[in-house]
Amino acid sequence: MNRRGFLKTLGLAGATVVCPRTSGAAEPSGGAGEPYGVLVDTTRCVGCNTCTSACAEANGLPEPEDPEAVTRPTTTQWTAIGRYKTSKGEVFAKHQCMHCVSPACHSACLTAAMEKTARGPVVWREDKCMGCRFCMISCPFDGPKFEYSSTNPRIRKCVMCAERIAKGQQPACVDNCPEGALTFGKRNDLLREAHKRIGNAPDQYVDHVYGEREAGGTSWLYLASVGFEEIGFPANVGESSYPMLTAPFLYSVPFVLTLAPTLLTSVARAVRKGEEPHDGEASNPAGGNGSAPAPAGSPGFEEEDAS
Amino acid sequence: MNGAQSFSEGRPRGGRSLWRFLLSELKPKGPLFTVFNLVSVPVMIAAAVILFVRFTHGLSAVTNLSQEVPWGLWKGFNVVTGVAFAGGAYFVTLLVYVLGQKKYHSIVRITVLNGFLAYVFYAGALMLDLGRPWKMLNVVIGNSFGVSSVLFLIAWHFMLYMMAAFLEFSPAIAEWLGMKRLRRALSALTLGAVVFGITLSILHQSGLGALFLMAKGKVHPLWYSEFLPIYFLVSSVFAGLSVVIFEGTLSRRMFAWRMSEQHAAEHDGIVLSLSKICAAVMYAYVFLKVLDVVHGHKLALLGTSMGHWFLLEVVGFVLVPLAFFTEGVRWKSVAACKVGAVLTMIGIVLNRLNVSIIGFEWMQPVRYIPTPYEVVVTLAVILAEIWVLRWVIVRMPVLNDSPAWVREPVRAAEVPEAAPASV
Amino acid sequence: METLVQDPFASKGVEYLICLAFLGSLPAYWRHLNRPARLGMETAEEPVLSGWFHLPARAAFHAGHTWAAPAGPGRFRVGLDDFAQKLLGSPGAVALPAVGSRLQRGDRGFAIDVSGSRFDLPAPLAGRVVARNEAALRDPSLLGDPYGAGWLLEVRPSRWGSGLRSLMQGRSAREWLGRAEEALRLRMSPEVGAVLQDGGVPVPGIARALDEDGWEKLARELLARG
Repeated sequence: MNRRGFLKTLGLAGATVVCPRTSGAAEPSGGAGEPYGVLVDTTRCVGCNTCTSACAEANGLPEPEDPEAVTRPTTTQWTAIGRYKTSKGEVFAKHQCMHCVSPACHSACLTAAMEKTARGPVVWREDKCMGCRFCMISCPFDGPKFEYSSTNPRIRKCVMCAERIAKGQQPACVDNCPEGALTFGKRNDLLREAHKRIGNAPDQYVDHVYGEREAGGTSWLYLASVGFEEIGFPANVGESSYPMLTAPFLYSVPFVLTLAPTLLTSVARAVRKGEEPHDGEASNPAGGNGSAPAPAGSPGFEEEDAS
Repeated sequence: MNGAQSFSEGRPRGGRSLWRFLLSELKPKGPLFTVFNLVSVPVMIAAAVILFVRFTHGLSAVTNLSQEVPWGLWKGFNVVTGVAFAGGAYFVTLLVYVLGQKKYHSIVRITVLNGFLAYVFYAGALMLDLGRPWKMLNVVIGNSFGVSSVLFLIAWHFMLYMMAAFLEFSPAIAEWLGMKRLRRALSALTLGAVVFGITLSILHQSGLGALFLMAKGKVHPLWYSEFLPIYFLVSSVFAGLSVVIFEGTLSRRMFAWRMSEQHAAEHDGIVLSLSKICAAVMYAYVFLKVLDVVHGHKLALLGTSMGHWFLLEVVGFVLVPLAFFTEGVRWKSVAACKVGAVLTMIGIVLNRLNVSIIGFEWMQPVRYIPTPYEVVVTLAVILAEIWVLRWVIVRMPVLNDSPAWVREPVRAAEVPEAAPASV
Repeated sequence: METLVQDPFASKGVEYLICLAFLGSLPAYWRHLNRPARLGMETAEEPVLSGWFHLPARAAFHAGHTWAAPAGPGRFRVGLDDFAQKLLGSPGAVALPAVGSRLQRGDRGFAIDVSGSRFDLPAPLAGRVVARNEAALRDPSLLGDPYGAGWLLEVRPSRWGSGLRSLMQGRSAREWLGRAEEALRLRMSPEVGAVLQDGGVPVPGIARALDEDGWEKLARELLARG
């Protein structure tokens, strides 16, 4: 193998080994302490859509015109109330980015434009994104939305009011919910609160906190009176964090990068012993540069037919 | 009795200076109004218009991409499928340069050229699908590395592989330009470039499968598997070889006048040998698919409509071509092998599209169907690649023998042990 | 939403069986793949040609002993093969169709006059004549180099049905030439055989050397056989 290729290989292998891998939790990018979350108690939600207006105002988005018609987030409305006819009557569920503990989008983004902040929110950074939409492919909750009709398209999604949280405030939706369906706090505290509510009123709630373990855990936790697949949550998300799904592959990369060239070169040398070097090529029996049979035209055809 | 003109001459470039030579090579060589030209030029012009609209009005103006299905024909076909088809390059160079199987020597250059151009055009077509292609620089210059991303790995490997493939092909360019010393220097790098290229190919062919690992609930379970990278890698072997087989028959017709005697005579033998390799690998692949269905407890799904579609792909376009290859090898029928190759290629297209588009978010009420504009652009990318391929084949020693001066020892005494040409 | 705890290796047993089935079936499949379909296919070696007649790899042959070879984009050169020209000997005259005329595959392409007898040779492909070898018209002895200076026509093949694909090349051509040689050998006299062995060819042609009186009939027969 020539020197350049070898160094390149070594460099790449080294880089991939040395760089941190996403395991259970994403690396926080600044700040300390436990991450925050929001507890959504759907039994208290009456579908008033105050949160969607508050969100629009806080993020500089247009006021939602027909909130009842929009049941899923869009590029211009980052949270939406879904209305579901369930076995226990009409249930309202607030949908937005789940701000996973170990986000798929964060590990998917090849320019590190999706950042998992230490305080919990997953934010999109405009200056890095190249619009490849791999985050959209990877997200089990269909969080990121893309501005297809723009010439400078952005990814749009709930950012859990990261700037407000940094100032010690609550997200706009939580602040403005009149029914107290939204609770902001440290994720661990919220989990405790959630289980307490279930314990206090077991016939009112399904005994499950959605987001506790789904996709390795999300920052937005949900309580409901019916099964979560009835109110628009994906049922087959599983409990392992999504980045871990790519871990076996990514972990194998350094092995391939080191073993493959070694094996290939040794086999190539072993096979070539005793071979004549092809014409038009320097022969270096002592080894040195991997001089391979050059793809020269072989002197096969004799001038048998005069042309 | 020779068709190739300036190549049997003893002097590089027929003695002309480099600039005169380049100028003369830029002229079209061959009839202008062939059927291919008349069909492909309007398509490419139309695509240029469509792309202008795409960049001035956004992706939604010309595509049917949606929030649920963010990757469509351009990524799913051009990138994911096109790269699988370029797999012939790494496998053939493995056969010739690592395993020393000289009998495939005559097809190395055309296969490597095809592979290189495929990456340039198809992976390059990726840029058309990005929301902000200019930000691609972030990935390259190290402004912002998302190292835990599979796509990061693929992007880098594509770039590095293009360089490796170009290196592998560069002796042909040096021969065309008549630069003896350059050619010798480049030839010495061949094994390194080949080893590098094979390593990279292993990782990014499987990496294309790894791209969908995080789309766990979105890719239909019959196609989703934790072993998706391995399936993509294995199928890239016979995908690439089928293209080599098929392309060989095409170039044999289109460029018969350019082929060296040796090339033409060896062609049938090569087709049969490659078909044998395809057959063996496909035999294993079928078992791997069975294993996957059992391992993932997916038997029940085979009864659904998607299940029938899955069976069509595996039975109709893996098992059936496997039979064609097997019997083609046994009966020494190049025609049967060609049929097998075409069916295999269709099967690969199906498989890749099933994973990336058709089986992606299959439960959505509104399915993704590409707009005619997307189809035109996809076609134009393929046609543009063929244009460049043709330009190169007609001028450079790809299908025919290298010029005679290759066999002469280089004048300068820099290689004291240079073995004189052993004719 | 409950998540069932499943044994991750539940289907391992079946999977091992599938692997065993694969390994067990592989030798059988491999044997099948490598067993040629027709008896004698593997023993059908390349015919050992006597070397009396040149058979360049690039040319493709018509059974009537004419050849076609690529000569530029969309053009093919056409001529009579070494077997025919050696069989007939040095021609007195050559008759070629005019430039622009259309050829039909298998129909008369050109004609050779030898000692007053005219031999018509079939066009190996269908197409339009774009050039003739004027030098060969003037000096028919050039046909002594049938693949080089003795080429006869340049033809632009018809787009469809040119017949190029059905010409013999490589192995099939060698088999065919082998059969032609065999037919010749059966008629051979020891003297002619000795001459050919040395690499020389009887100047008046092999047919004449074999049968002074009935050479014309013999030549037509041997040329038609192919």
